[in-house]
Amino acid sequence: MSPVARVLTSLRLAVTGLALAWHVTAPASWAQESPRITGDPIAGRRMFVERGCVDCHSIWGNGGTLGPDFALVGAGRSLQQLAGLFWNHTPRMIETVRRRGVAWPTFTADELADFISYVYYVKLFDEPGSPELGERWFREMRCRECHSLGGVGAAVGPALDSYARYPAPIRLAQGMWNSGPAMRARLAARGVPLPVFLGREVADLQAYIRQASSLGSRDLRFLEPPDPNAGRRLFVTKSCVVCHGADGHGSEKGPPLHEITQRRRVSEIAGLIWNHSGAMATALEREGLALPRFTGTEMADVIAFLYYLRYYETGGDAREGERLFEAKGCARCHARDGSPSVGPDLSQSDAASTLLGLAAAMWDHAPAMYDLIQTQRIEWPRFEGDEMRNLSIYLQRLSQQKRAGQ
Amino acid sequence: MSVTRREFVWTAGAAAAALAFQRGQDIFWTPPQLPDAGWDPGIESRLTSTCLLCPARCGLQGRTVDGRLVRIAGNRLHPMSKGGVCARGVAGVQMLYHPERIATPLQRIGPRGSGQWEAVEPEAALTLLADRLAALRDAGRPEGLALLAGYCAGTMQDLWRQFLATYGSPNYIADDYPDGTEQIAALMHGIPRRPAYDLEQSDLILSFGAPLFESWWSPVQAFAGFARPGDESGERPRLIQVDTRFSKTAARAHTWVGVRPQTHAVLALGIAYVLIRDQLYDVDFVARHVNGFEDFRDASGRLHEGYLSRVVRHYRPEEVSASTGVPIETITSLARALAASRRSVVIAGSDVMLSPNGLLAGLAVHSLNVLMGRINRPGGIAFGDDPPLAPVGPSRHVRLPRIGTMPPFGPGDPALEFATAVGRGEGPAVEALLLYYANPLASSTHPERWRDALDRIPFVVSLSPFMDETTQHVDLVLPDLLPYERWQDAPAPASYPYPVWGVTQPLVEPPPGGIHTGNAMLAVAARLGGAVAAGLPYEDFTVLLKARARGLFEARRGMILGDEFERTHHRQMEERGWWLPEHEEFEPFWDDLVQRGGWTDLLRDYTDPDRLAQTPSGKVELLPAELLRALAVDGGGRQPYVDVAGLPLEGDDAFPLRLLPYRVSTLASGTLALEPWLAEQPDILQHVPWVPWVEVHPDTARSFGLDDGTLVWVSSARGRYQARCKHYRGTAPGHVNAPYGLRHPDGALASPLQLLDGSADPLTGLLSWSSTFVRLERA
Repeated sequence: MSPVARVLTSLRLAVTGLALAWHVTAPASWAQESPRITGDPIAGRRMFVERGCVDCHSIWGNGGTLGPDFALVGAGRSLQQLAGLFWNHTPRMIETVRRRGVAWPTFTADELADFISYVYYVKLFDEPGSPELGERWFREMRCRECHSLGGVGAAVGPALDSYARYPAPIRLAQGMWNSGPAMRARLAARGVPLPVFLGREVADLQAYIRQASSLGSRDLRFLEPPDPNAGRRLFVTKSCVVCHGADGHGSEKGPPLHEITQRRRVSEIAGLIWNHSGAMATALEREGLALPRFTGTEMADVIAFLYYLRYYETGGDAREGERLFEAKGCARCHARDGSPSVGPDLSQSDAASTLLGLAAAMWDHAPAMYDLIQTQRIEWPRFEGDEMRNLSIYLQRLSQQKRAGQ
Repeated sequence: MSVTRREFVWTAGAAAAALAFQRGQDIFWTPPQLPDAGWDPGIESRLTSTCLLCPARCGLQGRTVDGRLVRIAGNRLHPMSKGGVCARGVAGVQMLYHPERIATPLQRIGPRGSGQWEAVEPEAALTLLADRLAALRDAGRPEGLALLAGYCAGTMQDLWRQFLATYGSPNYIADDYPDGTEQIAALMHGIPRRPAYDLEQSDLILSFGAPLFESWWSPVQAFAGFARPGDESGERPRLIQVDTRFSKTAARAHTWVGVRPQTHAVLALGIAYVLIRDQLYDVDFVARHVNGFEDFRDASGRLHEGYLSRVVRHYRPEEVSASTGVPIETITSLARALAASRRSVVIAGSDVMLSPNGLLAGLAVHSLNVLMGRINRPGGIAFGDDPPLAPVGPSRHVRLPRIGTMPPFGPGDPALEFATAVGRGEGPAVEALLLYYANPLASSTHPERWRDALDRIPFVVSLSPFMDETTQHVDLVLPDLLPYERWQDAPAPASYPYPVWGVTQPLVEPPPGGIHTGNAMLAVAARLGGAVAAGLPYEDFTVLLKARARGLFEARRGMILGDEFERTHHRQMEERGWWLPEHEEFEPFWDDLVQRGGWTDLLRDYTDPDRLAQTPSGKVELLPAELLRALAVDGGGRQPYVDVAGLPLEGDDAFPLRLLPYRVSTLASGTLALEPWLAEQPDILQHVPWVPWVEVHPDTARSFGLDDGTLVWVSSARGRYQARCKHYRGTAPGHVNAPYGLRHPDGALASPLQLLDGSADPLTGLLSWSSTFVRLERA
């Protein structure tokens, strides 16, 4: 089974895992270890078309223009924040859907996981860099003093022409990583400063290499989408956990990686990793470990794992969730103690026992809720920041308490 | 029972009166007994397929009711045709149910051409064919087998080539559409492939005589480029048509530039003059990627005048205007339009290439793309890819020369060369000839040579599903299934800037006794055994297609056809270097591919230097050394960028009018009379349904006493045919525009090509379509 097949299967199965993790783990332990990543982004892509989302929304500018581009809004947001974001825009969407006379798209929890995973996932793939900027970085970083490209340059290091068959910059970053110790030694010997990357400079370099390379009749090599679950395993086996801790939460030896990877794309994360590779090598050496080497898609998998750290961010404040339940007006319609109410009692709702179940139920019933809210002249509740996560945890705890009571 | 128009009107009137009389009473439009009449609603189904009626290979969706094809529409998932389909594609329904269709094999029982046939079982026909071929091979004369094949790009062509190679014959004789652009690409770029045109991204299309909306490689591609919305600046793509006649393409263009016949290239170099004079060309591109612009010395040290000197010396606008008839202001404005465009493309069409100096003229027109740096750039010229199909079998090469001579830079007319050689008894004796979608007695410019050739070949087999002119003179007819009854693949033409592999699947059941030619040849290969069977080890053609599609599955790139969002998404992913696998197993991949109609890969790599030039220098050669060598040996003193106009011929008293044949969009390739739907709309400008016509300027026609609609003889020194004289102001005075491929209602062919004087470009061997003079006489 290919890595992608593995991730797809594992992602789909892990929907339940995520719910289970939330369900059975005590609140104090939510931040300790994240569950496997949920959702099948390729199934989510199909859903994006089949459910008509594409009529109003776009990915990388491809699709409708009425709503926001999901590749932009999905960046750096957690699953919970994305769920909140979707909820916030339902009134406008309900009106639009009714105006156009189409049916309200509904989602199961699994489907919503697929869909949100897709929206999150696409941001992982950088747009190509600028060859013009890449030429400048290539010159300023003095790459030609060691490498030839297009028949020009020194032969201290390998010629870079063959990288032209990869449109994605990750192979270049992986090659640099693997050659890191040798590069550092040779650069030091020649008095050439070690290149330091900012922003998307790795992508720019790759774009320039593609343009300047003399490699002809290129049989372009495309990479299959990285597997964050494989990356998670590699994070352990490649000794990253020694410094960055389980699931990248950091330790006294290395910083947490959640914030660092937030809103960054593959080439940017690859640049950051390179910038710190020297320090990493030193730190690993102190631990008696060698700097790991990456083959195939391993570096991409690890970066995907780092990228997803923010996605399945767990934990939350149940007390704040309870406050939100009151403040957002949920309590007006939903009971929590078995008493009669307009909407279902959320302490007894299976859907509310998981975030995705809650989000899917809210989404599916949004039109009815919208009509009701309209008649009662209540403002549509909006969820910003971590509010959806806190509310979800509060409802999950309610559900747990209810079950424990039974 | 037939009903006359008068009877119908009376009946309808009586019915209306009866209805009025019965107003207020109950009327049952569906009497209870109607179901008994067998008029129940039918069972409807829709299947995707690909059109095989012209090289464009558009996506189709066939609608059937109770197993009968009732409508052909477009497949909206096709990346180029996007749900569109032309009149010819729609009329395929009438081809399917055409009364002249041959459904089962026939064996001749009388003299050739006598029309005496005997129906034979398919198995018996296959045995007959296999036995003849086995005897020929066993006698040690496999080169005595020849195939004349019409346009059949894709697996059928590969199957034929594999069959012949493993059998031991070099004689794959193409009878398709050579246009000379492949030779331009080979000479200037070192890439022996017809160029592709990225019209979908062009903002200016400058066409020199290319019939984009009529009979180009893909009219739907032209529509896709022309009819799309504007870019981010709101500018819509512009089309400028340089043409000798006010054609359908000219009528659709934003600007029509009328030009004298055989002077298109002179105009192109006049434009080049202005671009160079005003420094409007891409100086950086020319400096970095082009050889031959400046004067240069060759390997022997001989000094050659470069492109710059030749253009500046010979193509001042005043001289160009006098030669072409195009005003100086227009020449200047065309140059400035090119310079102002960010994504222009210049196309050399058949009017340029099918002339006595076609290759040199084509080089001159294409040089504008080079000057403007429009090679392997968005919206410009590209060299596309073939779909990554698995090979049909292990490749073999037959070390024997093909029958017929070849010109230095092109195939010429290999079918005519073959017929001429065979008719004269030159080369190895041809003892068996297979005709696959070829009807040379109708389509050839010299059918008499084909008659001579056929007389010398003892065993001729036609695979045509229609009793066309040539099929009437064969020994065995093994009719192929029609496109709506068979499996086939349909790769897009080379004019597409990206590969598309369309799949044709049966929309309806084939007739009893019908046999797919692919299956027939695989069966014959199995019976022949040995290398032939080993080279084609497929149970049937569908198995072969699936085997080839494994190459697509394993390529880990591209996509099964999808809608606009999916196409863009896949392309964007590939631009970023990633590829989304949709199928983990081959069978679901194949099922999805068939259901959606095919496969494509829309990414274009603009950085690969081999897509710019594969010459020894790695640069585009404006003055290719091999061309200069060939001209030095046998060029009659001709020089590139100097001798690009046609010969200054004028008519005489016997034949005073210049004949300009052209293809119409509904061309039926001369095999079949037009289906009724097509015969009624042969060309939107002329409105001459059902009969062949010729277009003459009204003043010219009147000078010969010919009224509009007069039936005339069109006569040249070689022959004559009948047509209606159509007064048309879009024809230059002194010229006769003649559509090619039409027939009279009785089936008689009206072919202006059979009047051509035979003059050809000696470099490519392509016949000149604009060097013949005719007269018109009242019939």
